[in-house]
Amino acid sequence: MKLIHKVVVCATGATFVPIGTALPADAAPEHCPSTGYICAYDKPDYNVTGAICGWFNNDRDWSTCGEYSSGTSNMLNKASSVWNKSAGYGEPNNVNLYYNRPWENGGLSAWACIGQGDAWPWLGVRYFSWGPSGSGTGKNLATQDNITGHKWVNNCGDA
Amino acid sequence: MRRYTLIGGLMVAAALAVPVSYATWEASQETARASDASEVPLRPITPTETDRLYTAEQLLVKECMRRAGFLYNPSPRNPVPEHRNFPYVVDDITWARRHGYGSDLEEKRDRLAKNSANRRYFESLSPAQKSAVTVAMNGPTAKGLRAYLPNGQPVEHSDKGCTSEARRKLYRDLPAWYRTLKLTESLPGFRAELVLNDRAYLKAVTKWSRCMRTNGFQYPTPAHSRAAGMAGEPVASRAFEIRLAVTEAQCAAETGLARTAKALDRHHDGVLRRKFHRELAAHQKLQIAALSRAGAIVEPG
Repeated sequence: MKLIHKVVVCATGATFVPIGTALPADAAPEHCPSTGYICAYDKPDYNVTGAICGWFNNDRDWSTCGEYSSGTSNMLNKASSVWNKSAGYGEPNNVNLYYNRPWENGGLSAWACIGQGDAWPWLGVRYFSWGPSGSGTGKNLATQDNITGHKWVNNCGDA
Repeated sequence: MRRYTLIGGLMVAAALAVPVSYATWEASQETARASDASEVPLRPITPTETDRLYTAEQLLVKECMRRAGFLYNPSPRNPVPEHRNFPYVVDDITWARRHGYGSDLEEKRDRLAKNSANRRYFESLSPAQKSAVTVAMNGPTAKGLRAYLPNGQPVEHSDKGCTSEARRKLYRDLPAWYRTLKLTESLPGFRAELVLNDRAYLKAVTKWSRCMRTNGFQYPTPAHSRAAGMAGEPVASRAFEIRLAVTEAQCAAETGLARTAKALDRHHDGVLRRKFHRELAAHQKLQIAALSRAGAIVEPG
């Protein structure tokens, strides 16, 4: 158990100095760069010929993009595929994707939850399967064209 | 518990009969079933064992990232241990008196995240370095691993990168690990849905709502009261959040909602465990086989 203890201490106390010397020489320009974003695409299968938005922080209103945008400034109810590009450095690294914005439906919204590094190629077969049930919550509806915002969480069951 | 069986069975059928046919999902799992794991007794691993596997995976990730030229600081599994979810109703009066619905713990989570060594390191990198770190961790594409949830929902992940390398070293059969992990992770959501729609839960909620009204709060369900308590300033103050959550917990105890929800949760957990026995057994088999490898990584020599 000694090392477990050490890990916890290390996780809370260490300060890093960037080294990052292992850059690929032929690094290609990226669409929604792999810089820890949750990326949303208006076409299935992360198709980069369509509109893309990316967020590093929380945003419960996708009527504007986050730190990254390409071909649009608005992803509200438009996403067809999503990719959680968190590198595990953001803590938390799972993403809740919501049906309603906080001020809609009395604050009640179901959500879908995507893990670190996971990607959903077609939201027509991904559903809002977490959170409150009932009228207007979006529970069990397809996420296709229905995601309004997101929040980073430690566990998918976190409201 | 017998009286719940029929309702539970119907609800499972209803919840899992979502648009894409269940048959599609079942067909996709045939490969997984080829190696029948039914002879393995279901033994959920203990919290200590879960910690050991998690820590071992984190250490393997750290070593892999170091080889790629980057620093990675193993993250704690539960950065805010006192954080709790109450999917049915807040049923812990002591916890509610301290945390309300937990807005203080959400703030703590975000504060810890913002100040974490990993976050500071990541944010100090150039965009190109950030990209390289993420590719080293997650792999270059989301292709290579694929899992389907019970209602046919596909999820993909790269089979390259340090996360996959660490899991391959720990669990050996990475595709089976990913497939069974994603299914296992999804079940609490399905379980909660079965409870929330169970007739016994809905009946108890009606009583709970009456109790709340008697105490000055008009909410049809605990989801509504939580939303009101977590609405934040200026709508809800911290004092309001705590008063509401404590009343919610008191009414949950007085009306039997807490007891009913707990019983239903256990019941539906059993229903799902039986339904997905093969997949859960396969997952646990991989976990148990990895324990000794994890032990050697966490406590070498």
